[in-house]
Amino acid sequence: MKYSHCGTRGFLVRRVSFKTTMPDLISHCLVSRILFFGKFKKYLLLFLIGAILPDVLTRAPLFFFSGCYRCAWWIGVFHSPLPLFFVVLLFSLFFKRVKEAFGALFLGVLLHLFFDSFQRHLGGGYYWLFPFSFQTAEWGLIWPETSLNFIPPLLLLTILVYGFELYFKGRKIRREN
Amino acid sequence: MLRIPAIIFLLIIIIALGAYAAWQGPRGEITSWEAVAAPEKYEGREIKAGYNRIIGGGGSYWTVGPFGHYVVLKIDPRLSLEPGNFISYQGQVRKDGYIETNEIYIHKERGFKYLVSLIPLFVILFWFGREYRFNQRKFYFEEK
Repeated sequence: MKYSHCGTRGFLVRRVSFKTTMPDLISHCLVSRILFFGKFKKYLLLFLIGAILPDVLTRAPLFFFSGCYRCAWWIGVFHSPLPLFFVVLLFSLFFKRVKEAFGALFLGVLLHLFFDSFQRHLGGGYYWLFPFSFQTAEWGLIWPETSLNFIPPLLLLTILVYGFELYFKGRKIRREN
Repeated sequence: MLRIPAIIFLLIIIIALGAYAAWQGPRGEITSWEAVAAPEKYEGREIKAGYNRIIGGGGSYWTVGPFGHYVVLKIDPRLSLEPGNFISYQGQVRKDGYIETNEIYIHKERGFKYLVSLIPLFVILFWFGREYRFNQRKFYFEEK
């Protein structure tokens, strides 16, 4: 038998295995902010929207349809790459610069999926090949709530990156003057 | 102006993908409530389920309520469970109509994680409202 607990408020048990599921949106956003700097910063907002899109599309509706089994299937697959591709394409059409919007949004989505692939689910999981297959796969390294432990170091790293950006921006201005 | 037909076309594709999942997905899955409803048929079958809410029980036997159904689980009594907890589990169907779990994960911080996730959502919505405005005539968002 194998039992697991999560976070610091966990409890007991036999053979604790530190494996997890969906990282929280703060972690997704902080990682996105850390990676998006320099010339790409002008697309940061769209990139962040892409980074939270898979969970906004699936978790939020499931909150309201939690008693409907088929709805869970209907909504749940929108955490898969191909349906997300079409959703992002649809969203991009509501922007003036369609290609740029699509690029930034879809990159955010891909980063989200990349981080989610490290999670572990006992039931369910992510259907990477949907609609061609209902097979789920993941690395199984962290449980969903474990990502909460990553927030403080990620926040610190984000502040550091922001500080470096300000420093180099200031240095550039000083040199020009 | 291909924008509107493209939007309609993509909406149809997206709805169709969801409908296909809702139609085909459940066909390949034996749910926990189906399994415990016919235990003699599914005895020994491995069942996995995620995010099931505990609605009652105690000691070694707990009842979870997936999608409005009732499923009894046999869980190690040393685990500190209580009604309202969300659990994911893996176990085998037993002929007496319950599932004997061999792996459990308790989503202790699920509510906190969802609450924390609202912060970036509101920040992004606010930021988007400041950066973009919707051009109703051209039917797209443009930078302010």
